[in-house]
This record gives sequence, C-alpha cells and structure tokens, in this order.
Amino acid sequence: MNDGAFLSEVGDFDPLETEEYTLNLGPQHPSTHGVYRARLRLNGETIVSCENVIGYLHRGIEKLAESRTYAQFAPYTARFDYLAGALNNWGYALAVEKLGGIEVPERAEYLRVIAGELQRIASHLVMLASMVIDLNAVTGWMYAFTAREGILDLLEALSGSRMMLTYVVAGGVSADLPEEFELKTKTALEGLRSRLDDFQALVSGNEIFQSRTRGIGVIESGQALEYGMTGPNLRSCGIRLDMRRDAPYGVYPRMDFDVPVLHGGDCFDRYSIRILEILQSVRLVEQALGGIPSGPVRTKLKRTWRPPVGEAFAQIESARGIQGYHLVSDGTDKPYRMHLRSPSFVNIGVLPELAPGLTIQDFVATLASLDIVLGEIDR
Amino acid sequence: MRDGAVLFKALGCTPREKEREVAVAPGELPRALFTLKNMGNFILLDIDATDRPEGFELAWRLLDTGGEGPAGIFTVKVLADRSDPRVPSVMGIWKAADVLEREVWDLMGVRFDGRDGLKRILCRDDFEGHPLRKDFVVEQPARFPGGAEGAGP
Amino acid sequence: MEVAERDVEELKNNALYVAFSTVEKGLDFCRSNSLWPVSFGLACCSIEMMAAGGARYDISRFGFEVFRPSPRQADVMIVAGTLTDKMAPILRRLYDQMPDPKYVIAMGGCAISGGPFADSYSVVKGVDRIVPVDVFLPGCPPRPEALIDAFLKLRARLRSPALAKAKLHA
Repeated sequence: MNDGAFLSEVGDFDPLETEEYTLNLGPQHPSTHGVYRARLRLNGETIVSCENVIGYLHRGIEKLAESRTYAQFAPYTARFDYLAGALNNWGYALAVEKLGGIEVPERAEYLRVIAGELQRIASHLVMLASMVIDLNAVTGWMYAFTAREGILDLLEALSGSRMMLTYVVAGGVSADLPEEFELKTKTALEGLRSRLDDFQALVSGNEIFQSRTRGIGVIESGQALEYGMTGPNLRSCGIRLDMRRDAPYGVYPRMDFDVPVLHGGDCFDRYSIRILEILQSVRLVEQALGGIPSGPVRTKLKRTWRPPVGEAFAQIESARGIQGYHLVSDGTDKPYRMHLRSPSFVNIGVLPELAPGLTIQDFVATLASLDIVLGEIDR
Repeated sequence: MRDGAVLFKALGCTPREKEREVAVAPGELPRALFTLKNMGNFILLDIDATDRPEGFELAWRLLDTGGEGPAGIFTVKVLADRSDPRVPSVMGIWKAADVLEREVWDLMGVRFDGRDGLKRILCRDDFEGHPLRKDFVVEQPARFPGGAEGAGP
Repeated sequence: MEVAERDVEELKNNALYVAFSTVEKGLDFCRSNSLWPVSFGLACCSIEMMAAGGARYDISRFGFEVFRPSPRQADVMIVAGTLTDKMAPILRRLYDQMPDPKYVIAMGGCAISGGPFADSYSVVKGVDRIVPVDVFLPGCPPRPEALIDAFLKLRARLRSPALAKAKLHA
C-alpha cells in the first residue's frame, strides 16, 4: 500500500509524536553479568546513547590491600575476577615474585598451567552459558553449567575450593597433585569434549541464535585497539595478541598451542572464539600433565619475609584479557600500593560508542558477548 | 618490544635508571604519548596513581608489541603536585583513557584537564574524599585475632 | 444481655481468626514448596547460586528454580554477594517492591557481615542493616548444597515456625 497516497487522501494527518526516553538496564537485571547499569536513551527500541554506570560492587579492595600482608591479600585476588580465580592468583603471584626476586620450581610452573587453563575453560563455559541464556536458550545454559561442574571437580581436587581458589601463590602453588588426578582429568576432559559437542549442536547452528548474533555489535580492529581492548574480544577482531604467546611467562614457551583469531568482530565471533580457546586450553592441560617433572611445588617464604623497597608490574593473559598487577613496596610486610589493571574495566569503555543504533536486544547480546565480570571492574 | 634507547630517543628524554620507564613533566605528557602512539604498535593498558610522600606519581602503562622478541611494558610517569594535582588528559589520543582517568580522579583525586565528564566512576556520587589517598583513613580498620606479626594495621 | 452479646462477638471473631489462620497455614505450606526467588546476585556468591540452579544440584526438585527478574513476582530474595553503599538503596527498593509474605536469605559472608571486606569504606556491614533477614548462610562462597540447606531451613520455618525453632536449638 502506498502510504503517501493514503495519507494525502485522509488529509491533515499528524504523525505520531514520539519522544526519547531514558531506561535503566540494571543494576539488577536478569542478565547474569552482575551489577552493571547502562543508562540508555531510547527512541522506541533503538538506542540513541548509552552511558555505563558502574561501582555498585566497589568494595575498595585496593585500599584493603594496604592493610593486609602480601600473604593475607592472596585470597582476595580470587574475588576480583570471580570466574577465573586461579588466573587472578597467578597474576598477583607473578607481581610478588618480581618484587621479591622469588624463584619458582619447575613442577610448580606446570601445575600453574594446569590450574590456569582449567580455570580458563570454566570461565569460558560461564560466558557461553550466560550469553545463550540472555538470548533465552536456557537448555544451552544448563549444558554449559553441567560441563563446568566436571571442571570444578578437578579444581576442587587440586585446591580444595570450587571457585575461590588460592592455589597459585608467590613461590609456587599451594599443594601438589592429588591421587589419580591424571585419570580424573582424562575422564573429565573427555566428558567436556562430548558436552561441548552437544552444546554446539544445540546452539551454534541454530537459526535464531545466528540471526541474533551474526553481524551484531561489530567492533573494528582499530576501534578495539583504541579502546585498549585485549583478550578474546580483541582476537575476534583479527588482532593476534595473547600474552601466553607474545609476552610468555612460566612454561608457556615450551607448550604447543594455537592462538585462535577470527575476523568478524561480531557477537558470533566473540562466542565462537571462546569455544576455540576452550579446545586449546584442553590441549595445554593435557600437555602439562604429560610433561610435568618431579620436584618441589613451592619455594617456601619465611614468615618474616619482606620484599625490598621498589615496585613491580606483572601481566598475564586472563580469561578476559590482559590482567596486570602493580605492587609498590616500602619495605614493610604490607603493600604500599596495590593496583589491578582490569581487562573488563577497559573493555566496557567501548559500549557508549558501540551501542547507538543497536536495539535493546542487540545490546543485551553484545554485552553478554563482551564477557565482563563486575568484581574486576569495580574492585 | 623495541629497544628502550630507541623510544627514549624518539621522546627526546634522558632515560631513568629503569630501562623502560621515563618521567616527563605534566605539560609534556600529551606530546610524549602522541609521539609513542604515532610510532605504532602501542596499546594503552593502564593509568595508575600512587600517593607518594613527594606527590602523586601517575603512570601510563603502554604495551609495546613492536620490534623483535616478546612484548613488554613501557611506562611514562608524571609527578603531580600534592597541593593541586592536575595533569592533562590524553582522552583525545587514546579513547581507553576515558574510564581510566575517571578512576584516578575518583580514587586519588587527580584532575585531568582538557576533557569533559570527569566525574566519579566507582564510588557513590555523593562520596566525600578520595579513598586511595594516604590521608583517607577508614574508621574501623581490620582487626585480626592473636597478636601475630603482620596482623592488623 | 449486653455481656452475652459481647461474648458472642468475641466468639465469632475468634472463629474467624481460627478459620483464616488455618487457611494461612495451608497457604504457607503451598508457598514453602514453591518459593520464587528474585534474581539478585551481586558478586561471586551469585555464581554458586546459579550452579545450584544447574543440573547437578538442581533446586528445581524442591520447587525453587523459578527465578523472577521482577521483585513483584517473587517470594524470597537471596542476597548473594557483597552489598556496597551504592547498591544499598536499590536493595531496599527491591525489597519494598516484593509483595508479602516475603523472605530474605543472606548468602555468603559478605551478605551476613561484610565478610572479608567488612573494614572497607564502601561496604555495608551486613545486609540485615538494610532488610530483615530470615536465613543467614555462611560461606565464601557457600556451596550449592549449602544454599539448598538454607532453603530447606526456610521451608521448615514456613511450615511450622515453632517446630523449626525447636529443631534448631535441640
């Protein structure tokens, strides 16, 4: 029907008056990313502007660090990025070791890779689960969370805790492998592979999922670099940057693994790259278990150990990007300053530029695909 | 990462004792970061502030992915005066600086000139004071059982 | 005559009270089998709350899996994680939006007392400073089984408060 002809027949016709309105997405919302709030200015369902409002989980951990000893602060690190506890521990341990010139035994380095990569798998599974449940594929969430339980069993056997690990500590790791760990891991990783296949069969090729994620929230590579984005979000825009490969630490130089890179920069690529990274992490865990030497697992520090005056910055490839720890020591047993370089904090900077033009549902998919954790954003 | 000497030469600075760290005056900061950005292969990772006795020491940490060998960190430091801590904003050079500068303003109270929207990002909007400063004392400090060394502030 | 009328009034009121309270007890029994939580995960504990809703720990067997995004459709609020000053007014607002009868489970050390962050400048030292709490669930984070235990304690309390109290202090 030709609207113009019809309208001219009807005569004086006032078009619908519209006005923009402001909508709060969060801080309490069903999307499982934590207490993040987006002040959206909407024209109908299309976003005109977006403002990030964060700080609803600001616990002041950086200030607390100044009244805890270096050892007492280690458990707090797992509360930063609470989905990747062992990786946070590792970054902090590296910073303390750099500050104090502490050596790490070789066996401990292999155990760190095992714990770190298992933790990366668990973290990526939560991202996949929460992304698909945001798009209302609830069964996918169930599958991914059940797959994650198998990995959490391994982490619990290693460290005693499912989530809040303090496994990687300055000087090594806190405990050696438990009995039959190789067998348990082999079984768990086989189970993971089969569950991941089920998950992909259910979700990845699904027409609705594809139309909700392909071409949505495209981040250009230049834009990503401008905003300091790192991690899988950057690698899905075509930039091959991974600290395990480009600024390696521990025994990663001895490991054989690929760094997957995708070029679309859309939500679907950010989803797919995490599946590819899970498969690479499985490779790393198997290699580390296969090649682990014998020896001590920790360089024990004296109770009265103090680092020398100075400062150190250490960065690792966390599940979300480059996570860095800055420690300043004044020679006492407590840090003078502790600062976390949080990948999620920097990654959300892109949203005010990315959101305009998206509809609310696209925004939800984009936010989910960026994989943020408020614990590390707000600290 | 590139050789420190190359970077120092480009910046026209004298190197500090540390190989990959340079200190500049506050006014020279934008020019220094602009020079580094134009050399390519730098990512702004972090802007950090420490409350030192001599003033607020700010650090812009860049990831240097150029040159041969592994990537490394190159740090540009500025010492801001305690009485009126101000540094120029580099939001126009790197967009990542937006949230990072707001965090430093919120927690440490260092102003960034030449930008809009410098407001609190983590603390409550009506929060008074800048918590990471050393003179910001928390009312109820931690108390740990026993009298073990290192227990409590 | 007047005294007798007053007695009859009183008897009638008592009967109404007995009738309504029995109905209410029955409703409480039904509610105890189908508590709908409002999704209010704040921090790390929310991940264990989600795991409790997953297939392995499965709070669905008890009827508690229906997480409602809107507090107006929910019975119980699980405060899972650290409550900060910035978030406290929002917690109170959401609690006020829940219809009666409503319950609160404080999950994790942070919700109970501020936990490891109790001496921070921005953390509320316990959710019970803002809302009344029915069940305190310690842990950092509490395991999903512990969350189920907290739910079961709440359920026992709903069904028979006196019995639950006696059992607890036995």
